[in-house]
Amino acid sequence: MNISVLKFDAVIVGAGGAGLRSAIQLSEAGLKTAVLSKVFPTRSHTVAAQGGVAAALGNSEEDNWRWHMYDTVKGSDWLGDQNAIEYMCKKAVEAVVDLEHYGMPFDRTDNGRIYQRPFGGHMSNFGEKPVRRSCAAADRTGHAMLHAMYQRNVKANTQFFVEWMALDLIRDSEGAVVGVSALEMETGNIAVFHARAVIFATGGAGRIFASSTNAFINTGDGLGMAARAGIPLEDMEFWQFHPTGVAGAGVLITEGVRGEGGILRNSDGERFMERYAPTAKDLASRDVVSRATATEIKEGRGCGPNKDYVLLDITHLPPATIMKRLPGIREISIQFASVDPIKAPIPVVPTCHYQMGGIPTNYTSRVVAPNGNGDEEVVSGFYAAGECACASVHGANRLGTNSLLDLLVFGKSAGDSAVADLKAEKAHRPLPADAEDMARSRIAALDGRKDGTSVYEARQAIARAMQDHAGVFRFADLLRQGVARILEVEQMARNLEIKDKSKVWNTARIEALETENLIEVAKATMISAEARKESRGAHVRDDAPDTPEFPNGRNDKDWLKHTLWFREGNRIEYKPVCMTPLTVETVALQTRSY
Amino acid sequence: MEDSAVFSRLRWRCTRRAMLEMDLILGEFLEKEFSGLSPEDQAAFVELADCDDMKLWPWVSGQEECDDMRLAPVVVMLRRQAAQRAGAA
Ligand SMILES: Cc1cc2nc3c(=O)[nH]c(=O)nc-3n(C[C@H](O)[C@H](O)[C@H](O)COP(=O)(O)OP(=O)(O)OC[C@H]3O[C@@H](n4cnc5c(N)ncnc54)[C@H](O)[C@@H]3O)c2cc1C
Repeated sequence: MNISVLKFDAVIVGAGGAGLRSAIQLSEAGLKTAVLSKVFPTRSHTVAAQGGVAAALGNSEEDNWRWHMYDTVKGSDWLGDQNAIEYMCKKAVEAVVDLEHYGMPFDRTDNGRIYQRPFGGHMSNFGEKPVRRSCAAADRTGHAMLHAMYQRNVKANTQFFVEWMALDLIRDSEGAVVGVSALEMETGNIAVFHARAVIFATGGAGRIFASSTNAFINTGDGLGMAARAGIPLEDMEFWQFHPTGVAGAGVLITEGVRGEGGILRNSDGERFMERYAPTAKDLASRDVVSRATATEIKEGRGCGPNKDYVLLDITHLPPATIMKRLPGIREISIQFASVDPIKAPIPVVPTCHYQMGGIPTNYTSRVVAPNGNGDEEVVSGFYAAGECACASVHGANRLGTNSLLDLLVFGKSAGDSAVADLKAEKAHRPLPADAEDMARSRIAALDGRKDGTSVYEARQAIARAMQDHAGVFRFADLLRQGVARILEVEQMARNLEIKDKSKVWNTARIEALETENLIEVAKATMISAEARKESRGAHVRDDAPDTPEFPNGRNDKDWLKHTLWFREGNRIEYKPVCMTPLTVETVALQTRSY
Repeated sequence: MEDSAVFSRLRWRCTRRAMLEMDLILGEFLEKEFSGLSPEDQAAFVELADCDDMKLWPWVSGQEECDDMRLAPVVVMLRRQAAQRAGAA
């Protein structure tokens, strides 16, 4: 097998919002920067983000980053690190202004300022009433953002390696990250990217669930690579279920629909969110709405022949508003639910949407891991940002529009941190002799195996196990069985067989390699979820119910801590939540209610 | 490149899209319809698969008309397939 070595100052894996944002910082600082992507950059999943990006600009009404911070801490159910949350909310305005300078066409108000709309969980004056904080470019926010940042990168001479799949992280004997191995799809060749800084921006892994709003590309490659390289994954039990995925297809109906006045109804036609969240109602945080919906369905008030969905109603909105403010929604509904939402409500169910956990980083986007002495340490040369990283700003539950903000702020800080670190350390650390061994042996194993499991079978098994054992509501016995089941499925995923052994454009091989990443994410999720014996944010267990001692089932005495899952031995450690913001007072623990 | 490699690349580009909507629509079309198309329509489909989803989705969902004469017939087929799916749902 041919191995070539390509040398760069920095290598970024991922060309979505986080990757492109960090690349701008590096290339504009004059560093030789490579960006690898499984697809053309502007086809990254960030394109799918329609709702917008949160920033307390205060253009439509009074707003303040401290209120945004409060909402984010509360949304996170106090599991978010308050230093990182302060950093993100404070930097939000600058992040949006940067995008404007890159040419992002935000929607405008009549007086020319950026138009802002309300979004679930975003409130004014420390949780008082909904505030307009989301900035959007029609229904193309993510698309416009990627195009603006891609152009900026082209100008800055960022080098793109398109349709290249990173396979494994390369660390030297001291644990420093010195590069990645990667597969060029068009030739089937493996190359080593030797770098002084490696940034992971590989996005989410929502395809571990059977029902997901995520595109097929979200297979958690960055997490798989990190886990195989001995780096723990943080808070993987926390997955956000979006309350409004089209029943059956998974396709997302944006929260903007409820922002513009859409209402959820049960089989009695009742606006049930009034019971669960009297103030915010349909605009309450996603986990609250998802669980309310799941409860309605569980208690027999679901709609349809199987009573297994609820209805999202916008029939009371003027058709002109639907067409102007919510373009595309009507078409999605017609195509994937056979319903014209101007005339009839849309069938929706809670659907896996966003991964709160990921590769542990601090608020400068440097990857951190325990050093064995009860403390944590920066992993030299390694950075992560966007959905694959856990800074942690979303804690146990993310607020809508905070992830585009996350990728802008922490994408930039990953770039800035790498630029600063590279100034201090000029030389490349040598590559270890076995730099590409792991990648090479994984491919050799796939090519050599007979009588193994098919990729299709293994993926189905992963998705079913996750859906059955670790869904919106979690049950102690199901989680226990789920751990046993996912470890069995792991045996399938470690024994993949591909029929096609060709080199050029061998998609069977690529999908097998993706599957080896999916299984790592699935194990991390199931094992972390089984271990956390409380309810918090998106993780809600039947054996941790709402009691006077533990409101909402949340137990701060024992569980106000982050989970770290290690691949080796499926070991779990915990680390404290940072309750000390950078400059302001701690947002004190409270019961989370809307 | 051999035919099988060309098809594999097309398959990758149809099922690793920016939007789940397009993964579903293009992936299904490739499996079910592609092999039965005329060479011209196959070429048009390949070209469509190279378009951004934000361009393709409005065409396929009928929000916008595709004004490219070569591509338009395949866009119509994609719409029909989607409509059939809607009928079946
Ligand atoms: C339908 C939908 C709607 C959403 N709407 C919103 C919204 O309105 N507001 C909001 O804030 N958030 C929203 N989100 C969440 C948000 O879009 C994502 O969290 C965010 O875009 C992730 O960006 P990213 O840069 O981390 O990753 P992505 O944009 O997913 O990019 C990942 C990149 O990594 C590359 N990659 C992955 N693995 C490899 C590998 N092995 N080798 C090489 N390259 C690799 C991919 O090719 C891609 O370029 C939405 C999510 C979905 C699914």
